[in-house]
Amino acid sequence: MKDSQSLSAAVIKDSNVSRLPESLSFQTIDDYIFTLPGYGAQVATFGTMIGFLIFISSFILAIFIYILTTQKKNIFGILKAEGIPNRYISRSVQSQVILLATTGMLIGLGLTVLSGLGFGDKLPFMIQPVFFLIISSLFLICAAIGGIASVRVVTKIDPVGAIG
Amino acid sequence: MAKEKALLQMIDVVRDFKQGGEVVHALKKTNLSIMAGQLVAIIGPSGSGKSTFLTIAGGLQLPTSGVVLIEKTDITNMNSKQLSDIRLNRIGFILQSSNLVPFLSVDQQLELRSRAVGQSVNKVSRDKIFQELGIESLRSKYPSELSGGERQRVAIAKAIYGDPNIILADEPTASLDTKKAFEVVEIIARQAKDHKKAVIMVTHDERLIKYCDVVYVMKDGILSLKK
Ligand SMILES: Nc1ncnc2c1ncn2[C@@H]1O[C@H](COP(=O)(O)OP(=O)(O)OP(=O)(O)O)[C@@H](O)[C@H]1O
Ligand SMILES: [Mg+2]
Repeated sequence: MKDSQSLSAAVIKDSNVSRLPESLSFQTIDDYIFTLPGYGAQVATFGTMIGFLIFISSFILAIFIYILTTQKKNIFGILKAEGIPNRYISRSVQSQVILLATTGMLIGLGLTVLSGLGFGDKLPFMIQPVFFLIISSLFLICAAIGGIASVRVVTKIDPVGAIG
Repeated sequence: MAKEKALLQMIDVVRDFKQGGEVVHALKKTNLSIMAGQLVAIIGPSGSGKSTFLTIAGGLQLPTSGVVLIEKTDITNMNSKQLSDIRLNRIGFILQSSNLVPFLSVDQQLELRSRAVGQSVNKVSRDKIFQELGIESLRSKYPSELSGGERQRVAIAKAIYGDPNIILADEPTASLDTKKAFEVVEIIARQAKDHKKAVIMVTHDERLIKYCDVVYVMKDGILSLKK
């Protein structure tokens, strides 16, 4: 520490240390890591990938639920022709969507945590409750959107089509 | 006298469709009464208006003009929810493509109706129907595991489970061989004879006519008695 020429950087925990050479400037560890070559770009790349993955998954989830319902359009048409109330059919669709989305989400969360434990130290893995909560709610919201669209389809089916 | 037992009446019923700029007269002025205990057949070429007639008789669509009375109740000014109620309680449908839900067992097909109205299964009437139609052994099977004839029996069971007084059948024997077709029509005929229902059956198959009390011919939207 006496020779200011031979010291180009120092990592310290206490910013009150004042016996460092004047030529060095202070920087927090986080700020410094971001100046490492490629680090910022890497974080941005992974962040974008993960973001899009979540976005696409939610989108597929909504579409999937919508298709699942519209595939049964003929059956719903027959039920409506038989006088089964719209309310009952819509409610069944809604409760099935909720059940499906919740079960899927719980299984997904479970598998995520399990695989995190399985990887152990080999892979950096951290459980971030806030992050998980946001993703889970996003999935549920998208499932709900798919469900609402499905219910609209069901209500609009014309039972006359059942006879032809 | 006879009028009192009329379960289905049509008075000056007309149904037009607007297609493009043209008007299609699918059903021209129709008057008829169908009594309890009657099995009525409607035959006629494709596109003559049979399905149009049947859907109006069953409260699936309303006529352009005229009056439809189902058990003395005028349905012509009803909204879609009221019509749905009429269909649920007064009418049983036996459809061409056999109106079964593919992922429900035979038992569950009937259970669905009870559930939809918030009731538990009426085991007594279900078992009675299964026995009458000879399908007790099929109760836990799924539609894909049934033969065409069996499927149509289950469709009949489903149609009569709510004990409606009117039964409407659209080509109930379409996919069956002659022997099976006769068996199915015999069951349908019994609903009229033994249970005093009014049954209307649309069919292409003139051999089934011998089971029917009245036969109408539909041609270009005009319904007339067959001579
Ligand atoms: N929703 C509709 N819009 C326009 N035209 C229709 C509609 N429904 C029926 N039609 C027309 O009314 C006529 C009668 O049709 P309908 O389906 O009643 O015949 P059908 O006797 O049942 O024939 P098929 O034996 O082939 O079932 C046909 O010309 C048909 O094109
Ligand atoms: Mg038809």
